[in-house]
Amino acid sequence: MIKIIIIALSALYLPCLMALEPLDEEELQQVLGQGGVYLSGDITINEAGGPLNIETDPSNPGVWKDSCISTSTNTRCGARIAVNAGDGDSSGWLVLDNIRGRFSFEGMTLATRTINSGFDNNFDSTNTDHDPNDAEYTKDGVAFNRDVLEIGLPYTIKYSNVSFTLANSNFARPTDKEVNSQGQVIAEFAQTDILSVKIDGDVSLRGNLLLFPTGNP
Amino acid sequence: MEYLEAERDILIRILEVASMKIFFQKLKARLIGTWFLILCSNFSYSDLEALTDTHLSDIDGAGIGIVLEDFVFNAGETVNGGGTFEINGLKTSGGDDVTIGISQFYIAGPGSVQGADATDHPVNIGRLVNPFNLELRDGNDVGVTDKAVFEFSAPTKIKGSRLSERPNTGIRFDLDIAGTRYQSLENHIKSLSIDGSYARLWGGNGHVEGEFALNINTPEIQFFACDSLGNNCGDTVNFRDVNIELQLGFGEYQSVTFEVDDTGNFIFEVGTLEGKCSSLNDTGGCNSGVAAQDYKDLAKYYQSGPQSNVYVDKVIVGGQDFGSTTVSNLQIQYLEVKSHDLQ
Repeated sequence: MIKIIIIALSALYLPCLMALEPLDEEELQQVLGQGGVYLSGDITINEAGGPLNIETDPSNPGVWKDSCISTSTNTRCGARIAVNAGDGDSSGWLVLDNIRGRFSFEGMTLATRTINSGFDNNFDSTNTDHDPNDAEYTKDGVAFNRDVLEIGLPYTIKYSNVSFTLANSNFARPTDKEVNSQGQVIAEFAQTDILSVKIDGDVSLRGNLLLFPTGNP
Repeated sequence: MEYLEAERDILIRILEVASMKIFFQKLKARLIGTWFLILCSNFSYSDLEALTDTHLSDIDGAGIGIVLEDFVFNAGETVNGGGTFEINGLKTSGGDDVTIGISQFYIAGPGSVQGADATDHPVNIGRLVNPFNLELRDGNDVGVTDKAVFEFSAPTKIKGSRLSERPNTGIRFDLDIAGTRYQSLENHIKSLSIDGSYARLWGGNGHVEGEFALNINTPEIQFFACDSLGNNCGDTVNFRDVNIELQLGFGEYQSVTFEVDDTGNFIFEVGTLEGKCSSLNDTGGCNSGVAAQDYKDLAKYYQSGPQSNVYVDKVIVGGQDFGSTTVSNLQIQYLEVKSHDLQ
């Protein structure tokens, strides 16, 4: 019995004693993974104003209650990103406000790929800028000969009532204000909207985004 | 005999207990050893420290290359089955709301016929051997002392984008004033290259500073207006062989800042040269003797600092050639743009 326990326990410790060895390039080349990942997504942002907007709970004073339908102009509806790019007390905020709506896409892919051909110059005989026989200009794929991370763009992205507003404001949040030591309000929240964008429909986004390391690390 | 057997049983039990004791002692020693190992390995992980700017500024060379292959972007109210694509927030002088409805915004390859056939003409943007690049650079190489500089750059001009890697892009938009659609304006850019452009950003004293270069090279930019249905288009304003090189900022010496003031208005500033010289001579110039280093820095700025050039080979309006336009060696020594709220 004791022997069995000792063997079982030592078996538990064994992996700790075994050294991890690096796989060399040739062995790694034999590893075959999945061909890639296929992604589809559907994101809805602040369609009803945000998590703190609970219209159905009038007893809770901590939440605010407002209708945030798509035509609402209430500044508290929608998500808000405020960035302070300045310094000191007299600086304000760059704001992306009223971010809301639904984005959905299907068919985004994620894969690795070796590029060692293609990417030739589609030489146009009317273009006299470059010598067509110059190998550097004609065969980029052969010269590159490396692996890349390929993100296949989703062909079509559907937007439903997506909107956002580009703005500047003096405080980060609409509820902020500056109060002096006597409790008097010195400065109220102020925001200048520059423009608003509204998208409802399909956008074609086709092709592959290729990412790879550059330089000589 | 029975007595002997009983004695043997006791002996065996004593031995068993002793061996159990030894086993548990060994087990204890092992467990202590294992815990020690785990603790040690934990300590080795707890050694992460923040990199200082000086350390970061030593990082060199490696970045992320970005290339778009067979790329098409096509959006708008008259493509992909319609929809809404609007920009709001503008007003006429009479206070009416102006809505810019974007009929089409496209980025596609050669042969896209002003966006009419965008989706069948993909384009590669960036070259594999000369891609768009995201990089953290050593500030000492780009005029920012001992700081890391974030850089996003377009392909370089040497071995720059080839003809098949230069997209056609354009925008068609309508003006709606107080709900009535008035006019449709179109802008198309052929075979656009922005080779040599870059944006560099670094941390100043609590704010973001930057330096920017924008190069635009295109054989043709067109503007024309049509009626509200996009027909009966008027004369075209053509800019042929347009080369624009804009440079804003010069490292730390003249940094570009974008801030918002405490009233919620933005301020875009290209740093001033005022105060760069500690001693002025009788004529108001920089004293090359007393302020020798300041004089040297200023001379370097004037000789090899940022320059902007614009060259348009031909401006043609409605078929009439207006000739060429050249602006060269424009140096912006101070610029402040500030927004003011009209409401």
